[in-house]
Amino acid sequence: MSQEPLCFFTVDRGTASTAAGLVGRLGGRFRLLGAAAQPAGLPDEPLFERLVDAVVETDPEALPEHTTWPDWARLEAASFVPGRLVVAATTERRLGQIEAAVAGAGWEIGPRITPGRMDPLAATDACLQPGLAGIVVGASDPPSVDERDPLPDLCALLGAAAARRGDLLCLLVGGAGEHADRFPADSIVLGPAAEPVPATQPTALRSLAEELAAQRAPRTRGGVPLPDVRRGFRTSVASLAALLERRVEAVDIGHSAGQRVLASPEGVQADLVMADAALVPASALEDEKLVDAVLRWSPLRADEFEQRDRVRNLRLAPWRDASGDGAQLRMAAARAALARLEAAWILPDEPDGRPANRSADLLVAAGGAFAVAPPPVVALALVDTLRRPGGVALFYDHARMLGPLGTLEEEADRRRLLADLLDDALVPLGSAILATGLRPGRNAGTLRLTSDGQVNEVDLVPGAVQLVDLPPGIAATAEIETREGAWLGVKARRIALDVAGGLGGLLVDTRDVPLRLPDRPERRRELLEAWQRPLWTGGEP
Amino acid sequence: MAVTFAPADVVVTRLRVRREPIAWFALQPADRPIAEPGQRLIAGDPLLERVRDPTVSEARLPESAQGLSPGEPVRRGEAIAGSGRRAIRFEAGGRVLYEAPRRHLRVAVGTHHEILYSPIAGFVEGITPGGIGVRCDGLGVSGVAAAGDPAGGRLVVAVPGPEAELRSTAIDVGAAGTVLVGGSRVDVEALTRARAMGVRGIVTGGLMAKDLKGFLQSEARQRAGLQPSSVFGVVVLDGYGRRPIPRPVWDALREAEGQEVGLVIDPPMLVLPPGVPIGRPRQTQVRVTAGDHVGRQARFVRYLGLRRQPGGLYQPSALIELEPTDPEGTPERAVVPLADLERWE
Repeated sequence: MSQEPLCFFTVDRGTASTAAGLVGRLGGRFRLLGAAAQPAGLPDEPLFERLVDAVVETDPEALPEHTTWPDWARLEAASFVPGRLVVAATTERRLGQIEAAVAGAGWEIGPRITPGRMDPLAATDACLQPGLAGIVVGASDPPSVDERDPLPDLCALLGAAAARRGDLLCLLVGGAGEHADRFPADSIVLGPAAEPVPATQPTALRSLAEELAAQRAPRTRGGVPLPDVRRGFRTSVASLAALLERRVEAVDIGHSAGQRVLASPEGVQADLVMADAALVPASALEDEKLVDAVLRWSPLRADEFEQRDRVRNLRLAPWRDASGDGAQLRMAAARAALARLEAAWILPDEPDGRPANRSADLLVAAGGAFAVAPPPVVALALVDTLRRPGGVALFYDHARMLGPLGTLEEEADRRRLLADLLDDALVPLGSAILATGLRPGRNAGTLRLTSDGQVNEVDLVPGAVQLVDLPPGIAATAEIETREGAWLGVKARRIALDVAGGLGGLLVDTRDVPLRLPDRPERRRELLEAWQRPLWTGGEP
Repeated sequence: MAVTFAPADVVVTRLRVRREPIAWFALQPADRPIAEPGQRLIAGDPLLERVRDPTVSEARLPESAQGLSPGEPVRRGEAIAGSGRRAIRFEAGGRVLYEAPRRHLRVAVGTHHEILYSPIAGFVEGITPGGIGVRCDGLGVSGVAAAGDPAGGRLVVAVPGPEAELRSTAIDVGAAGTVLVGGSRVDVEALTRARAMGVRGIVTGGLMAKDLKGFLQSEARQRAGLQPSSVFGVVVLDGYGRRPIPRPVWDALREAEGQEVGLVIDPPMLVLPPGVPIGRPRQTQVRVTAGDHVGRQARFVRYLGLRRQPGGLYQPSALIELEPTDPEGTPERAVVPLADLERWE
């Protein structure tokens, strides 16, 4: 990347779709000239050709010799599901710690085994299932008193199942390594004990699980493993935070997993990858609760059974049915996935005992889940689910470039590219202000938005979400004045904060944190429709 | 100058049939394979012995006894260690699960055994502790979901067209031993009636998840009975809900009507005889998979680039010419998102 390439493609190979961006040099800096996506499995060349063709049609001078595009460099990364693992431990607590580390590395978690949870027959059956990649069995190191008795039996059971299979990865964690002789020698990987930290925090076990996952990455035609797009995404978010000197949070909802990263200028503060946070997880084909969770966010009045089937079809063919009310259902699935990510987003307290700082100045959305929704709808989906009092600027990585850019080896190259591409690659969705604690009444409060000397005043409505026009590129100061005070991270009657404009404008949200939806389906749909309908352009989805 | 794209460049392609596909027959911990690796099978040959409702039985081996390997078969009443009155025997047959510490041998056993027969001809490609892989003679039509048991029978097209639904009233005892082609949807009443009438299986374009759930519950109740019901399987070809059978697949099914076919559950698949003539669709032929024209066949006219779709969204789209729904009709043109099209090879 240091050899001044004139044009190159970024390629994010997802499990459902492939996104490509065309980057060229204009006016002495890199610009994103075009971006497009297509279902996975289609050939790349027509996608690149479409991008080049669109740029040439718009500005023939923007590209050097455009017929040479097949020779242009490609910065590729891929997302993938490394496989499904059976996770076993002697206690539920230990099981939770191991699962957090392994799932955090992107592995899909299959049946969970503890002595009290599953009998030997069911455990063996689980290990014999086709498609299983491996077994993780663990204990503390050395095994604690309550682990010493059941651990040898558990290892004997799983070792026998692994020996029958012969093709399973056997990750023996902590004290389970003492029973390595029970497992096939050529499939054993010894790992450090799981640590009692939230899944968002790095641990030695999680790093090992990531290494093992990377070995299963899809390969190029030349047999070279493609870089992991999720690692790239995490690296790019950290680079972005350092570049902007801001706290940056990013969420990516895709077909195979969901990811959330929080970075400050000092580095990554928290990171979570969950197969269960995919747009529609594979387990939703059998798990009614996951489908129910999607329908709770759906404003559609169609037959409920039909909607359930459409959610399942979204898993089978995620690129289909993306217009009309299919787009609304997709956003309901995206909200459910974001809610699952939020539920697992646990940050440890600060070293001095204060609660963790969960705030971010920027929130970036990414992933195929948001590819077919208008920007204001994406903004509202983020605000509906990742709720935190205060203000935040919202962006969308529409060309899915953060992942591929994160695979660049040189941090300096990445920052230079990010600095150049920031305006093009991250679409400004707008800003959101979440103010809670407003009491209903005739004069709950006002929002005064000042920009370039112009003042726009809006009456605040408690328990509502209001959209205030604030175009992209406009910076403003929002002053909130309330009779009895509002909570925006701090409680005050008068609070001022800077906000930036975007395609979605400014969302002023005075609803509860967390958001409470009515249990009665009809009332819930009415409310969701009232919040969402104004944001769908055209109004007839 | 705008570049033109062929449908294969921009439209997702699905395979109509896969030649000599692999079918997988799962072995549970107590099950015993009967077929041998490399064995040639004809439809109806025994594949494996299934143990119904297995349980775990335990015995302590003497210190001097030789250990048994995981998966090793254990026969009813046969001494596995010791002799005479001190011999270690199990009251039912099964397979070794594992040897726990202090020489406790745990075995998956069961008293009720049933034979699973191969629904397809082929040869046994491999046997693992988890199952038997059979390379099928014939053409596999891939599905998206399946339930019930692997089954085989004579193929009968039971609906007038790929969009029609198979009603329970259309199934009678004359369909016993057949595999029915059920159109765009089959409900739980039709599934349970078909099983009761001795039908071996149903192939359908779509199946509502609630019907599938009802059918699985009914299957579980049947299995709980001492007298096992005959085998019955369902393969869903296109998705959940009401989904017409794709026309290229429908044409292949019509060609195979009257011949013996097999239903495979893992992966979901219908196996047609190898000699079934499979026509090659036109390069420009596409099918609409979502939206107002779902299930309709069409001709891909040209790629249009981004076009506004319902809901105000701009998506890469194509101009297509929909085939008329009746022979007298005329083709109708429509702009459809590329993502809602598929083509077949």
